[in-house]
Amino acid sequence: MINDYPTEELLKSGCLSCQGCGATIVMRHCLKVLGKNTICTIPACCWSIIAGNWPYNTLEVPLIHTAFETAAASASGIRAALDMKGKQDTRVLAFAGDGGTFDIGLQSLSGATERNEDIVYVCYDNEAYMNTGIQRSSATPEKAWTTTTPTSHPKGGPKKNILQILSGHKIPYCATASVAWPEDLMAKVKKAAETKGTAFIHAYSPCPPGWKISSEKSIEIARLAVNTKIFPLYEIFDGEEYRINVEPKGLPVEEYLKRQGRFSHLDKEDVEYIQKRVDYEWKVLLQRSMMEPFHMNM
Amino acid sequence: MSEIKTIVYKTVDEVPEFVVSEATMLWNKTGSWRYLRPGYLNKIPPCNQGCPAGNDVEGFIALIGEKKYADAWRLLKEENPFPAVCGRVCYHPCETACNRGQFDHSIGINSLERFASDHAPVGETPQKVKPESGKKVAIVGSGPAGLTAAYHLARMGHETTVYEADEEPGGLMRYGIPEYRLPNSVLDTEIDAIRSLGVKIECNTRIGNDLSWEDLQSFDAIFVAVGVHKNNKLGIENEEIKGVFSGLELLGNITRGKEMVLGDHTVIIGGGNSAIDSARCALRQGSRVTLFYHRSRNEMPAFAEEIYEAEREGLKVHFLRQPVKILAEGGKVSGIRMRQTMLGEPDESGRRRPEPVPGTEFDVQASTIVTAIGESADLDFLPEAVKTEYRRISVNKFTQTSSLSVYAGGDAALEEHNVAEAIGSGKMAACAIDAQLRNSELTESQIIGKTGAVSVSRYLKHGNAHAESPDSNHVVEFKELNINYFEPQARNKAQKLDMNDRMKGFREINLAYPEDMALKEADRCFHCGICTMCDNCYVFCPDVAISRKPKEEWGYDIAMDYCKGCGICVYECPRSAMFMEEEK
Repeated sequence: MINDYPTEELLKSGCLSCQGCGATIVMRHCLKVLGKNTICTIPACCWSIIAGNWPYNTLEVPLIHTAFETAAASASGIRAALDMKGKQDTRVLAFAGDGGTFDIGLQSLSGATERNEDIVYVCYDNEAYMNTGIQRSSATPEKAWTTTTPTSHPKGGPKKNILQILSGHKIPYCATASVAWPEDLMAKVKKAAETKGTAFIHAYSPCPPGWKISSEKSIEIARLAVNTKIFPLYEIFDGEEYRINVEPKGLPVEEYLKRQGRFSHLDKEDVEYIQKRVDYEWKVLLQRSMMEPFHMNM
Repeated sequence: MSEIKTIVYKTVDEVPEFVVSEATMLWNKTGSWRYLRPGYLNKIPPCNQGCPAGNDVEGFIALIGEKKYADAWRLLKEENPFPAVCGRVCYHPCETACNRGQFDHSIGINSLERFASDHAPVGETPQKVKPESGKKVAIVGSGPAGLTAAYHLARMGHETTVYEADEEPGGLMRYGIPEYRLPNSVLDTEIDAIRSLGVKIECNTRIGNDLSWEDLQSFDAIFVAVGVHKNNKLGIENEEIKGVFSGLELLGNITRGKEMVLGDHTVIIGGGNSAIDSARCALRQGSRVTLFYHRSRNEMPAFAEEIYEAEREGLKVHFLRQPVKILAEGGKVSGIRMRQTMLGEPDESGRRRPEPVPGTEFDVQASTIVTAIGESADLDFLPEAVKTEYRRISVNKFTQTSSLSVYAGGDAALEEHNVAEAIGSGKMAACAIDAQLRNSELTESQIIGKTGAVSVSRYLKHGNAHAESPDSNHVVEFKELNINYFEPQARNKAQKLDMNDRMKGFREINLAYPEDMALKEADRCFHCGICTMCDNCYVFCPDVAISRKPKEEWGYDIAMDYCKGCGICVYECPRSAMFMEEEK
């Protein structure tokens, strides 16, 4: 038994997520840490559906459905209103998909981060616009299949590195997290909540229908993403100090790719190319994690 | 869980001005989406199947892990009256079966059993589990098979009498296993516990000599476990001369405290465990010892670890050497003539047959010669109705002989000659006799896995350590585990007695695990097929459909109203203690 695992469930059964949904596991663990005194804002994304139809809400915290581009903006507004009312203890969680974060909501996220709003922003990344029918986003990995990037024209260009964009804002705290490491995820949400200012968590959330995997493999794929170094788990403090949290097993990327239908069209050269890029990105990450952060007396 | 509530607005006026939710989604029974249904099922760990004595290996290791050492010992005692003996002398096939062996190194089960038995509560003996039956059972032979049957029969409420030809009970555990492997005090403690259940042990009573087979007919059932005591002969010249002993004779004499004068050089013929035990005893008598075996090291039936230790103690082993004739001088052994052999085609035992090489004879000086080339049973006392084959009593898988109410086990009936197999046959006999005397049922479903021993607790319907889950007889294979949840960790090795202290006498060589090492070793166990409440299923469920059972209860509940059947819980179970079946 995991000691001190929070047993309170603020996400209730009956929600409308698909079988094996990663995003639901992310939400469940975020709320376990943030607790009841939280206001959640959700832009257009899978979770607009998952939460249920009016007049119902599968979460036992207030949830505000908002427009696609406004997760960070509405979170900033909620924060300001709470501060005006003297409710500094109440936490604000912006919970958005990759479309609402990487593409459509990037401007408002950049604005909120630059103003250093005291919010927790969690992006559950399922690497495409899933609930509208698996259209590619800028978070879709290179060469992957989606309905708008068919196998004849797979997605070109590498996945956008959102943490680099945010660390460029010198955000106080940002981190990657994965559904396969729930304790690590919860520890990061806790750090995010305790951060004075903007905190961002990029949570890797497998999508069985969109990735063409069977539902029971959700966690397995998330685990392989970390162990093949495709999605390393690390955190960045003040945009400068890097810390890698899980030592990847260093499995070949093929182990990750071959288990997913969205990569089934890849040939040997494609796999080799992806492996090289992953190795390069990992090297960059290692070098950054070894750099001394900036100090006044340097 | 909060209440299920559905909201119905009958008129427009009832609709709130601000669009706000008023209830959770609990009304939405997502269980109807499911076409596969998960469930919890404790299965059989391979070690449990691999134990010839039918111990709940996983169960007692789990209890050691919880620091419940006395409970671990009690669990062992449910199946086996001799955990302290087995923890010392068993050849541990459970460790060969252990799934962890395919990951890094198997669990040190044998040493953990020894640890549990070392922590037995002083003076405690297991209680009877069934009321008195008024039936009487006779057991011939007080070796591991006979005493195990007596122990379980007494617990099952039968009046049990054991007849032993020797001065003291224990059979080969006393007279065949030297004290440096099994101290007599350890054996005595476990035999006393059997006596305290009301078992009568009549020593110095040989059936066919002091009592006849007819004298046993007043009993309701008879279990024959006489063991094998007739030494096989080499069939060469001068075999009856002074200075030639059988292995069992040498070992027995040392146990009985008879003075043995072996002289300066002892030659051992044979490659089994009694050959190695004889050699190590002779070394402790101060003699130089050489062992000749007619095949190569690969074919040697003795346990590899014992051979290794014997060689460390100074034994010289020569392979592919066969005796031709024992040399005598003045009516007494002076040496032995040997010749070389080479391996030919495999014989009926599957091992390559040794063939003599002509013209390679050589003489070896020797003061004592010990022949240990196997033993067979002395079954002359049995009536014709009890059929035998190749000097072995013929039995079916429930240890029944061709004669009604006569059962047989141990070395006299089994192909494999070792303590654990003998214990297994004693258990089977006890269950079979109880089933006959009480008209109850003994079926193959009470056998652990496909090839294991009978489980007494399953026969008695006790269930296993973690009780409630329904039993399954499926043995969990390595490939069924989710090994992502295990880290490689080296096996903990128990210390052995220092070489300088060994040769001074018969002090026990294998030392017990210290407590911290035992806990570390117990922690390595995968608990294949048994739920340990690791929480994986509960933590990863996206539908919050799995919850821990209320306090003090073991396991989890699945809310089938909401489980969508994604299968994550089953896939992420590290130890395959769950299953998935099609929704009916």
